[in-house]
Amino acid sequence: MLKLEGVTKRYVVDGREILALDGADFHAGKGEFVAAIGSSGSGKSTLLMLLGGLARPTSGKVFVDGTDVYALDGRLRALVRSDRIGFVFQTFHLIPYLSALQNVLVPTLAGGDSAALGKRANELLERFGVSDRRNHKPPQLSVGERQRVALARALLRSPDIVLADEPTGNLDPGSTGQVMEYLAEFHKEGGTVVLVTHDPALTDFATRTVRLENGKLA
Amino acid sequence: MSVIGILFSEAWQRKGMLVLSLLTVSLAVALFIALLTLNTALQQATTKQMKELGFNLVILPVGVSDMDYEECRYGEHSMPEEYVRKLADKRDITADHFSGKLEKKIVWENYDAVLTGIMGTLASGQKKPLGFQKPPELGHAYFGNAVARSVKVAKGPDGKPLKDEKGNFKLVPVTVEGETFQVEKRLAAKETKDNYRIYLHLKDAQRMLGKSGRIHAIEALGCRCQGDVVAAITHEVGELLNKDAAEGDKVKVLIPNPPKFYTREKMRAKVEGYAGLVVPLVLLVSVIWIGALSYMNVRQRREEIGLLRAVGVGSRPVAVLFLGKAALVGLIGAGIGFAVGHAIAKHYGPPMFELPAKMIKPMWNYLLWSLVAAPLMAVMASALPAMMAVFIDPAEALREE
Repeated sequence: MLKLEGVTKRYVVDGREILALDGADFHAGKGEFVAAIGSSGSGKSTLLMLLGGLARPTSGKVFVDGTDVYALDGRLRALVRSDRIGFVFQTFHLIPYLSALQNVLVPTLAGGDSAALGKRANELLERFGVSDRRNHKPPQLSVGERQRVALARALLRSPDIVLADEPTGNLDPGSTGQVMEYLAEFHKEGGTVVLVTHDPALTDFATRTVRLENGKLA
Repeated sequence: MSVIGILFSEAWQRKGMLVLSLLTVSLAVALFIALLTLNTALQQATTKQMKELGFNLVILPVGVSDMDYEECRYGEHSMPEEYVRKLADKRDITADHFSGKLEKKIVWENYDAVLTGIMGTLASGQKKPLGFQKPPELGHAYFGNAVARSVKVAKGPDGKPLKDEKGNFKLVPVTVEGETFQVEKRLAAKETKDNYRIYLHLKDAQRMLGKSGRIHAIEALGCRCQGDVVAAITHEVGELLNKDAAEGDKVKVLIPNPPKFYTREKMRAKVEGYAGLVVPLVLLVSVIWIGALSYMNVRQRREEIGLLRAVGVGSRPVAVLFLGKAALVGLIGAGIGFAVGHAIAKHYGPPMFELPAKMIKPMWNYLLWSLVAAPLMAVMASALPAMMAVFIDPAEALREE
C-alpha cells in the first residue's frame, strides 16, 4: 500500500545540508500498523512527510497503491492526501481561532459533502469524548483534548491510511493511552497506520516495527 | 467550514492587523475622495461665479492702463476688430467667449454717458456662444437703466402710450451724436457704469467714431480654469496676436478688479499640484504597507497553511484566503474612506477655499469607483504574499514550531 524505494532526502537548514533519509526502502501493507522508532533527528518525521506526499524526495520513489505519488501534479497529490491519508502530529496543528468543531471540519475545504462531513465531525467528537468542547477554541482545551480533536480531523474524510508523527509526544499517560486506543481501533477497522515515535512502549500497538537511525531504516 | 468562514474568523482573531489594514486603505481612499470632491466643487463654484460675473478678462491695446479702461480713456489706441475672430477661431485657447467693443464718453441729455459699440459674442472651439451679449440691430440702441430715464414713450394722437405688437411700450427714437436711433430696449439696473451706457451695433459706433474695423477692447470669459488662467492667456495672446502685429496693434491682458475666484483658482491649482505629488506617494506607501501586512499575515500563518496542504486543500483556496481578505479590507476601507473623505472636504473645504458648504455634495460615482478600485488595489498589493503562501513548503511549515 505504502512504499519507499531507495529514497534519499536532503534539505538545507541555515545553510547546512542535512541528510534526513539515506536510500531508505520501506513498505506498509494494507491494514498494517507499522511503528518506526528512532531517536530525535533520525528522520522519522521526514519519513511521514514523504509517505504523505508533502515532501518530494531528493532521489528515489514513493508509491501509494502502486502510484508514484511524486509523478502526480500538485492537484492530484492533494487529492490523494484528502481522500486517502489522515495526519496526526505531535503538536496537533490546530487552527487557534477556530472552534474544535471547525478544526475538525477544516478538511472539508478540500471538497466533499458538507452536510455528511458535518454529521461525521460531530460523531467523531462524540466518539473521542470531546463533543461538549465542540465550541471551544484550542487554547481553551487540555492537550489531551487537543490531540483528540486533531485525531477527529484526521479521520473526518474516512481515510484508509493514518500517518501519526509522535502523536503522544506531548500527552500525559492517560491521554496517551486514549489516543493509542483510538489508533488501534482505526487499525482494527482495517486502516493502515504508520506511527513514528521515540517511545518503545508504543510499539506494542504495532504489527511491525522498523528502526530509523541516522536516516537509514533497519 | 468554508474559506469565507475561515477568512472572517481569522480577520476577527487578528483585529490589530485588520484595523491597521483598514486604516491604510481608508486613509488612501479618504485622501482621494477629499481631493476629488473639493476639486469638483471648486470647479463648479468657479464656473458658476464666472457665469454670474460675465466677462472677466480684458484684452487692451498695450498703451491703455487699467485706469484708462475704467475711465474709457483710450486716446488714439485701438486694435483690429479681426483679433476677436482670431481668438475665437483658436480651438485650444484658455478663454471661451470673446467680444469686442468700441467706446467713448459723451454727454447725452445732461448725462455723462458712454457710447458703446458692441458685437455678438464669439465662442472659441466647439463652444456655443453665450446668449447674454447680443448687439442691437444697426440703427437701433439699448439704453442703460439711468440714461433710459430720458427716453420717452411714444404717444398716440389721443395722448395714450403706444404699444408694439408684443405689447411693449413704443419708445421715441433718440438722437445720439447727431444720429437717430430706434431704442430697442431699456436695460435693468446694475451696480456699475453700465447704467450710463448707450449700446449701439459695433458698425454704427465705428462709423460714428471714425474707427472702421477697429475696437478698443476685447472682453473674454475665461472658463477653462485650470491653473494660472492669466499667465496662460497672456502667453496665448502674445503668440497669436502680438507676434506679427504692428507696434500700434499690440495688446495685453488685464483682469479688471481681480475677482475672488482667481485667488481661489490659484490655490486650487497649487493644491492640485501638491496632490499630484502626494497622491501617488500615498498610493505607493499604501500598496507597500498592505503588501507588508499581508506578508506578515502569511508568515504568521505558515503552520496553518502547512496544515491545510496536509489535509489536501489546493492552491486556490489558500490564495483565496489571502486575496479574499485583501478584497474584504479594500471594500470596507473604501466605504469608510469615502465617508471620511467627504467629511474632510465638507469640514475643511468651505473655510479654506471660501466655498459655500452646500456645493460640497457626496460624489456617489466616486463611491462606486472606490468600491472597485480599493479592493483591486489591496488584492494587487497582496498578490505576491498570496503567491508565497501558495508555494510554502508544507513539510517545512509543519516542522517549524
